[in-house]
Amino acid sequence: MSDPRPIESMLEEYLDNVLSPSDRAAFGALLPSRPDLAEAVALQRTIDGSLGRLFEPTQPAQFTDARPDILATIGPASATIGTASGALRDGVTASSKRSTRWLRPLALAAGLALAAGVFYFTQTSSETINHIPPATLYSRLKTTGFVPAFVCTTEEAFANLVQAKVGASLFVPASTAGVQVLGWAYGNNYSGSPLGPSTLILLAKVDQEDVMVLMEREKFDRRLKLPKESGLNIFRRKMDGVVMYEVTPLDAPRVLDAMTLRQP
Amino acid sequence: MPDDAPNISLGEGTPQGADVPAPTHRLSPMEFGSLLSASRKTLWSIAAGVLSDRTSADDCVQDAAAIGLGKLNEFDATSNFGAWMGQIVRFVALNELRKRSRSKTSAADPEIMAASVAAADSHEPAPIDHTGRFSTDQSAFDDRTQAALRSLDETARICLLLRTVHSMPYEEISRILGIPEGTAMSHVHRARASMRERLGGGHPSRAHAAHPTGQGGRS
Repeated sequence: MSDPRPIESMLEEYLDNVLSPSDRAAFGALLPSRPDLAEAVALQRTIDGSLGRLFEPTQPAQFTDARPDILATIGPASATIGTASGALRDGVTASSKRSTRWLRPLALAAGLALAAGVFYFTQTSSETINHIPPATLYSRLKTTGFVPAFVCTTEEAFANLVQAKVGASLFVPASTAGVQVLGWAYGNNYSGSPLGPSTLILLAKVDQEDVMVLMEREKFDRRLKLPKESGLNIFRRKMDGVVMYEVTPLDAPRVLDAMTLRQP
Repeated sequence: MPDDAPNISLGEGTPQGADVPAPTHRLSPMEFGSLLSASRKTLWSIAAGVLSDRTSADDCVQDAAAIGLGKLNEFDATSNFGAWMGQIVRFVALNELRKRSRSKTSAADPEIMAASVAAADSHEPAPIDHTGRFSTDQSAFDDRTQAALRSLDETARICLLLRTVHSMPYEEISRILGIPEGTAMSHVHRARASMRERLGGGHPSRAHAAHPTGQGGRS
């Protein structure tokens, strides 16, 4: 580790993903032997997840997402439709608590509101997941040292986390020969997900090779593939409603083979 | 523009008054709409951060958009649109917050109320146990998260949300809020530590992770 500071003082930088790759790797490697740090990391990830649920922006809001082409079309004429703006907006945003403030015609705002009306009723809502290719995610993980953002210190904790995120109590037994589970990468650090909103990204060493396993609810399955030039193989498996992909330089899915369903 | 719109100074690149030269390049309404659309998530988060809730954030962004549109001739299109609009959203949200505090009435002594809330907080169970398992349900935890967020300073809240929910680089946060990058980072780090302290069920180790237990384990 190049940073001479005590390890505790690096916790915030680690959580913020601003450590150098070597310091991050060193900090990540210490987590299994420091349950107090691992708990703080896990708690912070839980809080981050909660903030994400609470403050993920809503779908495009009325006129603020008016299309430029519509604006261009109605812009010059907007002054003539100002008087209609109040009624229009009441129709578009009936839930607004302060709609009466918009009853005063404002020419350009009215134009925008009209555009919003058109836009609002013509655009279908879409899922906001930014899908990234699995090879891109693997490459980004390698670039940042292939270190986990957090770890589970027991098989029980592992299965609990998988159950909470994707609905099945799956785990990799610690005794699996040749497989060392490193921990979990945090999806939000990679600006997207190959599958769905809760995709788990498991990092492992298999015969000293870096292996990534994606776990997600089956309904988010997208039949992932890898380009040949990636030099990687991808294996798919389904267990108990969970779809899993192992991205590996090896010729066989060693982590998926070891994946076990916890018995009640 | 809304009747009670705040008197907003729009900062650098947005001169006010007759003696100040006009911007070198002005945005058309079409360009404004396009930039507004591109900045929507950030602006929404600023509003939600100031107000500590999401329900009024849409209204706030819309009000700010109307104000921005009205002041379009004051904006120099060569400067940062997100920073300019972010400032307007922030002022509008703060104005809304002030209005709320003025209209709020309380039958109880605020100090007693605060003490009882703090006491209730102190008896909350830890959200996750030592194995990482949720010990409370998710929606209850989200409620506590929101309460903990409200305890933060407004700027810290915005920094935390922009960083955590949008993975925004500090350089961008700095530009939008007009604060140094290091300050933005300090806000985020202190806010996270504070949140962990409040939500960690009173276990200092979860908040600060300052003492080893010596236990081993696997990943």
